[in-house]
Amino acid sequence: MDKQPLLSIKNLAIDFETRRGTVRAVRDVSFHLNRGEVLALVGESGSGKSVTAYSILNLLDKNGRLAEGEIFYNGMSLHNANKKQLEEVRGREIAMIFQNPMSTLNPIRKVGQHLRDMLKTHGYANWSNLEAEIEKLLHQVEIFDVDRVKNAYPFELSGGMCQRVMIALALACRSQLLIADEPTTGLDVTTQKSIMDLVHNLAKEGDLAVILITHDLGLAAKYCDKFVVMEKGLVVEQNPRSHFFADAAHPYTQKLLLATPSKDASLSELTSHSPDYLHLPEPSKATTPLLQVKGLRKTYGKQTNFLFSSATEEFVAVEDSHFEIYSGECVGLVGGSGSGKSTTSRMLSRLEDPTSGRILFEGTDITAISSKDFIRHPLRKDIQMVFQDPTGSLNPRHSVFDLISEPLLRLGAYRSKEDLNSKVEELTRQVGLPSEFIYRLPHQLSGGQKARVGIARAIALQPKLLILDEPTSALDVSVQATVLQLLETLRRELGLSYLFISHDLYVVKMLSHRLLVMQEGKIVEQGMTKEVMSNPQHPYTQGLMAAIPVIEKKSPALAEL
Amino acid sequence: MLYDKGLLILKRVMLAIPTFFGVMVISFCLTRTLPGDPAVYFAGVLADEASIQQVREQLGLDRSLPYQFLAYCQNILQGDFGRSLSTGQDVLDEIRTRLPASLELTLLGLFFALITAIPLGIIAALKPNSWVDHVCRILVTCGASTPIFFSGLFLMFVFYYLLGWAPSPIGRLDFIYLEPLHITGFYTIDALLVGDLETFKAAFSQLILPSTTLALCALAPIARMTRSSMLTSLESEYVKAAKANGIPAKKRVYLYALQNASLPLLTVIGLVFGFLLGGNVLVEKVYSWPGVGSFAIEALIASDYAAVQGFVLIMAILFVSLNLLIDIFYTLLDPRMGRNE
Repeated sequence: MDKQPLLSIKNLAIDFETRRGTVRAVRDVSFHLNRGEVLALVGESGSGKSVTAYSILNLLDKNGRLAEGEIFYNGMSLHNANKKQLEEVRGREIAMIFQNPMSTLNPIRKVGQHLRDMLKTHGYANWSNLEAEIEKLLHQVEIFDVDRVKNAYPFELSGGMCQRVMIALALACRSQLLIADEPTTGLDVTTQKSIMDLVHNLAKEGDLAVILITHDLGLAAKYCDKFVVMEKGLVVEQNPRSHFFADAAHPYTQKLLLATPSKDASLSELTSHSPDYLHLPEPSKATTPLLQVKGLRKTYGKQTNFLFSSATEEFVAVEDSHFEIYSGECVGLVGGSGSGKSTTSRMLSRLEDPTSGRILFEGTDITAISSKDFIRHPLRKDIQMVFQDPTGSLNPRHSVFDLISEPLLRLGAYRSKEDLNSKVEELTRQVGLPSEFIYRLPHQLSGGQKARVGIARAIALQPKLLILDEPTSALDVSVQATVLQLLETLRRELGLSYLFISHDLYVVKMLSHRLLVMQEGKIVEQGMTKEVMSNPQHPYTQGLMAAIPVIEKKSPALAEL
Repeated sequence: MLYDKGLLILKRVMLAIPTFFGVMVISFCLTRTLPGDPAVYFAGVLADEASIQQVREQLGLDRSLPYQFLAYCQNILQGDFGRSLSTGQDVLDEIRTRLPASLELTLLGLFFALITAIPLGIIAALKPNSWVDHVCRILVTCGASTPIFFSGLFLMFVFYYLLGWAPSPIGRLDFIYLEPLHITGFYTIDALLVGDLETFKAAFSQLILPSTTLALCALAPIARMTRSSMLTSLESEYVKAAKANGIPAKKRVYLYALQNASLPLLTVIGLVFGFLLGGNVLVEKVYSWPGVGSFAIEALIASDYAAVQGFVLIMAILFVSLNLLIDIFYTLLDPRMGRNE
């Protein structure tokens, strides 16, 4: 009887009214989904994958409109459903979970109240079985300290816990279809694994159909049965898992597959054309370290005041770190959130003072200079940073020229306008930004271009050490691939040293010669990248490696490219 | 959790103490800088140099300022606000009889403002650029740009002089009515308590115009804040998620969005109240309202510094206590307060 698919979408088109007229964001999208199936809607930003999914429940923004096509859910047409019908379907038949679990829960309502709202709204419980029902739901999403979680506000829970609560909300009324919009972006890899395992189990055991919207092919490959690849509002490829990797025919899919980091891919293999840096020689490695870190420690005091007495609770962010970076070398620093990797980077770049320990840069103890004074110190030029959020780290009112020339004006010796102009031009060329972009403002740039501006700024003063704090985590995979290759090119050209920080072991390992693995403020493992990757010693490293979903093997067809 | 909150509230209450002290210093200093010599006024027109000097000594005005301040503090703590120079009455008694009149006016004004501004702000946020939104915008602009004495006179001109709908704007009650029995000092409430509907109606109709004047100027900030904070929370992820989960629109708007939007709103209401206390002085003058505001103006003109000091102090205490109350309320409403610092 279940021959008919649970959800089928036919020739969907979505229009958006913008100031510049109507824009068709999605065209001619068709796919279907059966019970117990997990479908991956894959694509990069702007591909229309989220818009497609949102249109199923008619959750488009006010200026969006379903222009053409049909959506059938369980024999019911959703494309022309009225408000009342839609409210019946939402949450009861089809539920959604979102990207940012902390902000998708009402900040001033307790978790229990959220669940009660849900159960009562859809009439799935009455006052007598309400609490029992809530307990059952929380158990289902593997939350066992029910009383604590029920009475907690969202801000008191971790991101992973909040996402579990969101899933519990989605399951509350026995929904048949779960739409998950990048549900694990922003969560730790280990949390990502547990959340995705949970969703997968619910699909397989509970006969739940799932649409997973993601940009991560590795994640999709691990958990999904069916792939729909979208590019610029069009479905470019659609295949069941068994055929997907072998038959990936469309150039866009191939590009995505290539760009996705994997266990055995090297940096040069991320793009189909061979990158420029290959003909550049490895910079010669010095025998004395450029940077030495000795017993670095950082604690944060949490003061609790009671009237006139105060007590200090200590929180250790970084504990007794030792490591070196040699010139011309790239060292990778990996760890989950809260592992202390960002605190380490902030101390090394002298934006923050360590509690104890020393940082020697070319033999000079730079911890002796306070972070306040380091701004004016000649060594400031030598240690530069590329920040994680390419948008947030650029002043939105400054043009690309202003942004790149700022460090030159402050710390460099550029007196004449011509010197400055030619230097900025040289830098934009180095990072691969077209020169006509120099008068654009950050919002007129794409994510990858903004990242390039951030890099140009950091290398403007010819630093010796560049600290890269997750420079590609906000970028699409294909953009990430080119930015990573750019970084490698710059390292070879300019003989830079990098400290590359990331939560993704497979990204880090492509650039790094050596790896440091951090957990809870401690460096638990360090060694040559190859050795650590092939034979991880510490259980935390092993756990990290196991948690990151990767495409096991690139298809032979792709290897030939 | 509860312990944390209790601590936070306690801290907040303790913080109010230095504020009160500061207010005492300022009110003391301000009145000393008033032009004119109170001893001259007090001694009377016919007094000679010697009797003026005598009065000055009597009032302690010949002593040093710090001494005067200490004496002043001591008196305040004993509940002695001094004697009004112009009426000869105890200042505290004077204020006590007049304060209910002012409070009745201010609170009703605030109430009128809230019941119009909040729904207006909500509807404007729900339908941006609709006609309600435009009405909201016009009201906000008018309210923010019309001075209070002008709107007061304007309303009086239209509704009393031209249309004749409002009773004559002289005081709290038309002279044909008797004051209701003093229970709370609020005529409307007292009248209701003794069951005198006739007097209630009369007292209320006297209140309408002056409190509407106050409401008009309080309306603007409240409506604007409601609109903008409702817009923010309506566009938030949690409202979107609630929509996806099938929580009905009513619940989304009034429970999810409004609850979150009410937090910044609360702060604004505290500010507006302070604003109204100030505005009161003008409105009372325009409508010959026998409240503390008109009392303060008369005292100011007569260089009656004990009365001015008393007025400033009472108003400051009112303002600080109200803000304290709002802060405590805020702490109770927002679970994030006092955590995650």
